[in-house]
Amino acid sequence: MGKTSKDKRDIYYRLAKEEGWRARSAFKLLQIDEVFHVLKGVTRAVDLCSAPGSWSQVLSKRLYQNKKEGEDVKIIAVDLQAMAPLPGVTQLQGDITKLSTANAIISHFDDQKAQLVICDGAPDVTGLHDIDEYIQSQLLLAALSITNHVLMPGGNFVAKIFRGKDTNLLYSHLRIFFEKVSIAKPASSRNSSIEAFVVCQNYSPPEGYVPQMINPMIDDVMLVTKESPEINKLLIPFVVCGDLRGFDSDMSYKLNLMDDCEYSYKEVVQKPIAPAYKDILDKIKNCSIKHSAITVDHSDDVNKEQV
Amino acid sequence: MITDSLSLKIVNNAVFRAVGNQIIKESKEGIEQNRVQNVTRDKISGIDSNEEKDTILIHGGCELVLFDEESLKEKVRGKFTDGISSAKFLKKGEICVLTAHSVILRIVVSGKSNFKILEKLSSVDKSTLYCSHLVGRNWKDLIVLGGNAFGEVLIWRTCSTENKVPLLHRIPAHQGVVFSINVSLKHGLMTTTSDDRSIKFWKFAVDNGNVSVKPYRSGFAHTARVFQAKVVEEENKPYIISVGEDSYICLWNTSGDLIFKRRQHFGATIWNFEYDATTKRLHTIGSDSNHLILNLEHFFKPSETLEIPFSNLNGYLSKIVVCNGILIGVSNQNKTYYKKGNEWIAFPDFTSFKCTVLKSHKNLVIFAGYKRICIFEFNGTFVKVLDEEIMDGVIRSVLPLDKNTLLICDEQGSCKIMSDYSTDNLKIIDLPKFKEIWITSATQLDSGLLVLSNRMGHLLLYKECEAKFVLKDELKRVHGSLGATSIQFVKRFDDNFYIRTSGHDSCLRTIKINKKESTMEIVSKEVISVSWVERVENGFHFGFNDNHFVVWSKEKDFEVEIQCGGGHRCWDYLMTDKEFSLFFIKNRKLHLKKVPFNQLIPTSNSFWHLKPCNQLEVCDEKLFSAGEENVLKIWKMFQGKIKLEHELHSHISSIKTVKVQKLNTQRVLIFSAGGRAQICVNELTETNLTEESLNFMLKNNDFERKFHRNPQEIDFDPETRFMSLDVQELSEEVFKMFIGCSDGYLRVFKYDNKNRSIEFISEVSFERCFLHVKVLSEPAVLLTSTTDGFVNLWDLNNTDRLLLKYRHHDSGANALDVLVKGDYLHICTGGDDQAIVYSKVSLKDSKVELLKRFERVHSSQVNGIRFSESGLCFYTFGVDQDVYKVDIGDFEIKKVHYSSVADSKGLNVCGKYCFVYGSGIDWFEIKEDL
Repeated sequence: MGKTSKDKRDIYYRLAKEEGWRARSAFKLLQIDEVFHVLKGVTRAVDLCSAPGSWSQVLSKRLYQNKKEGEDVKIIAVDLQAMAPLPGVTQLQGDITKLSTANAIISHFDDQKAQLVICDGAPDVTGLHDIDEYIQSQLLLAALSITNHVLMPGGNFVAKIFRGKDTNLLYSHLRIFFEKVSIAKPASSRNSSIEAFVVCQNYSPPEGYVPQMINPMIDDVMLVTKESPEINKLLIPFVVCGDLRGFDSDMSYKLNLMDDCEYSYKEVVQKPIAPAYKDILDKIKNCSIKHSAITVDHSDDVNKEQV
Repeated sequence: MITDSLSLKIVNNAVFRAVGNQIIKESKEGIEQNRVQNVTRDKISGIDSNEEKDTILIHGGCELVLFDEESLKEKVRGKFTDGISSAKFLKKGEICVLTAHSVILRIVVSGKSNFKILEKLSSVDKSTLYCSHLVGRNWKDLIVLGGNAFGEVLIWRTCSTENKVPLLHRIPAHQGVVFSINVSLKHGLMTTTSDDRSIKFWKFAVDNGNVSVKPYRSGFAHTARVFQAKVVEEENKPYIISVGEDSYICLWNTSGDLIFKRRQHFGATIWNFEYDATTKRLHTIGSDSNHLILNLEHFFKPSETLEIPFSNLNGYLSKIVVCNGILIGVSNQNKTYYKKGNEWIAFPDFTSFKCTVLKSHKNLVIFAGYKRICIFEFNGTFVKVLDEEIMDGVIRSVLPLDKNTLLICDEQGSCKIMSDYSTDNLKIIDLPKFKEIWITSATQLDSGLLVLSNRMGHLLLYKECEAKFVLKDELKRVHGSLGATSIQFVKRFDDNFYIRTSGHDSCLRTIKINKKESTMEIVSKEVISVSWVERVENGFHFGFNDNHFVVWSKEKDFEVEIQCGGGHRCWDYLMTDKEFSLFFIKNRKLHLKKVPFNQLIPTSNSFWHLKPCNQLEVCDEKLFSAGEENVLKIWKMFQGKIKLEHELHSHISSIKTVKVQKLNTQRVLIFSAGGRAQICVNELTETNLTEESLNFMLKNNDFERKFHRNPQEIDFDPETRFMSLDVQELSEEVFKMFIGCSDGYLRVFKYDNKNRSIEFISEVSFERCFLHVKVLSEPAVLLTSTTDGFVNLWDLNNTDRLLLKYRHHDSGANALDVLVKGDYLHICTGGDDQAIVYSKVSLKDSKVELLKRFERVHSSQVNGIRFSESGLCFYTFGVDQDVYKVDIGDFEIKKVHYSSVADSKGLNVCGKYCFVYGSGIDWFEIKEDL
């Protein structure tokens, strides 16, 4: 297949390159904002799991527009992976499930809390849906723990979820902290994808709630003595974001979208993050492991352990 | 149900293994003895047994269940508030459970059917564990090892006085997610595997409460993620076995050297394994739900490739062959020898000549060269039966046609058939003139038909008429530009013969030969895993993959893989029940490699798709499934089980849609379409064979179109996906195909099955990606659904006329079914917005009534919907893995099934069964009445 093939099959991938976004997911946040206005008037925001940085790009663009005189814009972007710098965005590298990372984020919001927390993180998928959904939900709960520390009352939280068999439990957990929880499906998110976004509006934790660094559910493991009613289905509205008459993420488009505008191929703005198997890709450039193996000796390795 | 099988455990004389959320008890030969369905909500991820081996522990998701080992009767069940990473029996019937966030619990059975938590400890690290391993059976001595997404191995112990237990070690182990950790205390070894494709070997020691861990090797032999590695013991020596996503098992020694590697699950992910030291068998399970058993005994000490000396004689061997178990060779000095013990003995009564062909057939050895052919027969000794010059030039091939008949061909194209090894009555065949004219393979059929393949790759059909062979038909370049390497007779039906050819293009092709008309036609192809097939014998394909000699069969996959330097060399083999010997010449030396053979214990193989199934159609008792794997499979439903009957390899990209049309009681047309704008029509014939009737694709570019002088009237992007297809029968074997495409067009083609022609009729733009297309002949309407959630009705006879368009969903209408009842169309859909919507449309005035909308039944997309055969209800299936039944009389909705099949793609109803599919397939009996 030619290099234009993906441009034809994925309109938002192509538009992202043409408009200078680091990833097509930028459109997802923009489309969510069209309906929920989560970026309106915001000048302080946290982007969790930010790499490669398309949501931070959106924040950077919109928050500085929102800025009024005498006001500071604060955008904290956190990811495990290093991310290319973005103007006006403070970057932290760390794992959001770790206490130290959470503390580092919180320290930026000692005086004034954030108005918005967003999280577009997805786990390393195993291919086993049960596990992938579980880990995605844990990532979301970790993001919620940080949110509990840094979000001001009335603030909003937007995060990716995998809609699976146990998502109702997550919704009910989010409803404890937010007045309104909706599931948003931006037009730029593929129809065939199980991904959607929870848009949690008006942060209003229960009275007397003391934020905890670690989700108490995690540590306080109990036996469920009585099975809860099988379906605890809350009224969570499903909201489609983005103009359905606009571009369709499942549709293939011609390269020349308009007659008066000639298509030209654009390189991606940000190359993908190196995969876990980069090392082995380098190793097998000049040899094959189809029938044999490469053995690496660690006998002389210096102990890199950290406790 | 066919879906991921994640865990297994050998207890007493049985194998307990999970398939999805079911537990199956099998004999060590893989024969099912007992089965319990729906044990847990999530897939079962771990199995253990107690000291007495009378209780089986099973965990999946948050659930923990104990079963009686003998009867599989449930004893105790418990559910926790967090996911279980590991659980195992401790001594005295206690159980420890480690959650995915490093909380460890000591629990016991309390009363008759409850668990009670006795103790709880929590590690300070709260990262989500992808894997864990518990060392020890005493609560106070437990060592807890966990692996997380950051490539770290976390180690802590339960002998802590603190509630929040500090880590003993946090070790950066891998570049990606750690998928498995296993420890052998006896051998002081630990293994870890990861996303980074490596398996890491560690020295592991426990001393006075201290745990010391040090990596010493990393092994890279898997080409995808490595999911499990464990230490096994053979003759008191430790070895390591690893398995992974690439479907390979690798056997390593403790120094990190790879001893043996084998593709075990036909390409499916291998999730887990157990080695049974008593039987020396390896039990593997994977995403294909199969339980495969390999006798590993002979693989621990691989044999070296031996060099068979020829030094006592002058020169070297240039050709070899095996006849009746005796090795025969021709030297570079044109001397002929056979091997007796360690001696090379010259053939008696043989004057040397430049030998271009050395062949064995039954108990004959045939030498051929310039004009001359020399045949020896072996009956205890070699006796010459023929030695004559019968050809005009250098003989290039000698091909047996039957026991006593040979076809001989020289480089000038002289081709003769010799019977009974006599030069009397040689029959002559006139070959068509080509640059490389000689024949590479041949087969003789009844009625005087002869099929030959020449070196140019053309297949020639001859018929014997009045002692002359007349060329009747020709197929060009059947396997590319080289000749077919083998021609096998498959079946005869009425006036047709079916043969199968192989070549150097990773394909087997089935060819139909009509006896009356004397015509040939390629009816199907099968893509196989061997790139160069050289011979097909005894159900095995012998050939080469890059520099390896391979023996492959569909039932056993790769039985043999031997590094020999690649094709283009002289080789032959000896095969016994348990051993395979390959003789080959490399660098002018004769080599012998002996490998274990036939070590796979026969168990039932599901042969299910390796990737998600996009659509499943049912016709009579046959199922037609296809998906992302590019292969369409045909199954027979028999006694509640499905059995693979055929595979169709027509598509080059994913198959999105399948439609089945019955022609008569025995003939079925299978329409399929998908990625790369490809449409295929295959026929399941009365012979129960499949024939490809049409394979339509847009040519890639204008140049190619010009080159093939096939200007096409249609001009759309060849990378368009054909999302859904349905057909309307116009007249006998003439159909209109309606295809909803990813570029927002609805396209109509006409297909004539008699002359197998396709014609483009029309296209209309809708500017949304189509998801479903359904044809109703009475009334003549076409129903479609799109990614914007609309249901659209079109005039079937004129698709420019959109009759009606109304909204069912906020986003994509992912599932659609329709039923005609009186003057109404009843339409049900499932959406990306998680809703189920049911409406009816009046055929008189096109008035729409939205009858019911279920918003919060499914907690995710609804991808499957189908009316029952009675039309009284419909069934829905979502990504949440629930199946609901909706009564269309009173709109009562109830859950009828929960399936372990994830990534749902659809649902189908046929007879008393309801099928749901996606990453696997599940079926259950349905009761029509609510």
